[in-house]
Amino acid sequence: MKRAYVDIPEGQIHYRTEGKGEPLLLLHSAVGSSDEYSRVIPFLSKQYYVIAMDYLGNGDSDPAPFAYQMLDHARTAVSFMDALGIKKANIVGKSVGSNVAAEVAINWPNRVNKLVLASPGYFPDPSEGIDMSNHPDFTSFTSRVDLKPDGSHLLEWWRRVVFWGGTLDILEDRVIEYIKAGPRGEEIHWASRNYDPKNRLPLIKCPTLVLSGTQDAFYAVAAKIKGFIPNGKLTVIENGSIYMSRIMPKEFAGAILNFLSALGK
Amino acid sequence: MKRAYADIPEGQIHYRIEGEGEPILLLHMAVSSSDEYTRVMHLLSKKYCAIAMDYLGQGDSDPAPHQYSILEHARTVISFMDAIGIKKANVVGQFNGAMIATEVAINWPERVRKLVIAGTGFWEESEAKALKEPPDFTKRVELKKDGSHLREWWRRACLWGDYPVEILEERFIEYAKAGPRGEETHWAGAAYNLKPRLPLIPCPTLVLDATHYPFHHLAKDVHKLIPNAKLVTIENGPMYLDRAMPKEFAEAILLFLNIPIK
Repeated sequence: MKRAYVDIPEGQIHYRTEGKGEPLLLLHSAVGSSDEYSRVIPFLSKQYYVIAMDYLGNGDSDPAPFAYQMLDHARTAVSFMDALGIKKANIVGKSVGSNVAAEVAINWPNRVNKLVLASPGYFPDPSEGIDMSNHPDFTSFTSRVDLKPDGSHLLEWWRRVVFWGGTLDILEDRVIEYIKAGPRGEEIHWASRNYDPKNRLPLIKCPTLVLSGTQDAFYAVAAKIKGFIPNGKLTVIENGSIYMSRIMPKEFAGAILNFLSALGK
Repeated sequence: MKRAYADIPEGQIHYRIEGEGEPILLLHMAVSSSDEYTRVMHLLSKKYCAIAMDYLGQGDSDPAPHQYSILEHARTVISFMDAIGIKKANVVGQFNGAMIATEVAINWPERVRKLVIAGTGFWEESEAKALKEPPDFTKRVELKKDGSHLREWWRRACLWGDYPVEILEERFIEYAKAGPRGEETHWAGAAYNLKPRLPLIPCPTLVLDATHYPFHHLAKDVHKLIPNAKLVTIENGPMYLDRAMPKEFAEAILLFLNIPIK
């Protein structure tokens, strides 16, 4: 796997890449980075030209010029594809990245072959009668964290990471993503709150896989999300959690490879 | 300024680059990265092509394959210069980076035009022995479930003077990126004996000193041991001179590089 930079009009995008063949673009979760796919990429790169980018303001890319919405991040993904000369790709988006991926597919349908929405979510209306008690209160992990001379901001980032479970090496990978994103990091969580999957996902036209895990905080709405998408499939990974790309990379990659090879060749 | 990667036999080297012209290669201190030179590079790049690399195991470069010595880091610098096609450069190093820069100049004299070493010192034989046990700011930091390793890295970032919180955060990020193996560069520095190496430096050299550098009291001795050296001391300059006083840091370098080589 190689790390590299490419220039787009807004600045430099950092990415990881491996393999040859049909392009497979991976979009990360909120306050994340391409590193979350480091364990998955070796499985995918045996068959595909895999590229995982960091959004502006996350990971090792340049800061975003302002607080980006999902559509802005989607535009960046297309600029990134342009910069690498990729005309059409299979796109995987995880968590908040699934919203970004969906917007790429909706607004630039000729750039997307197949779409995978991993760990997607939305907050259902109480009238929908879905039990969301597994999902923590949104405000408890998304408020802005300012730098403090006593270093206490680091422990707050650590708290937000530990919140979702995982082994120590995974928690460390994750906290480094919070540290890199810095005080502006949560802007992407707020952008996701402005996003309305219920009204946007029905506009997706390409073959789409909804990939969820039984331990995912949004597992309760996975079937519902699949139902929003005209040409949608659902795969559930037993015991898969929000960190499943890091904890269960083989299962995560397997579900993607299965979907990409099975449909519409 | 652009960030980029170069491939060398041991892995990928991350670097920052800005400006055009004669190259200045900047080598960072222990448990650090090219980020420390960002402010300085903006000033150097008006006249030079300023390039700052991360050593293997630091910043955003790949990990070192094993615990590297100062000479091995110097060899990496040459591999990096080869990879990006630089035949000869002015080389600037501070603290540990000064030791690495010194070894580059001694072992590959045809690759170095002029040398700038900042903040470096040496210990007498008796003191060197005492330093074999790393002092408490260079002990290995293990990851801890309660996140206390982050606090320890923060403490280390804060040890060297009063700085705005943004500078402390930049410094902390370098500790976090280097991770539990980060202190290996400090140990390499402690195992290195600079004193007998200084008389072997073949090129014109600037000893850049600041009154609050931990080795300020040794700057004159370092200067005396180098055959063709100048000494510049920056009043009230702190340990993180590059970040806190980039103008003074860059100006001292630019003045020195301007002097014609006899």
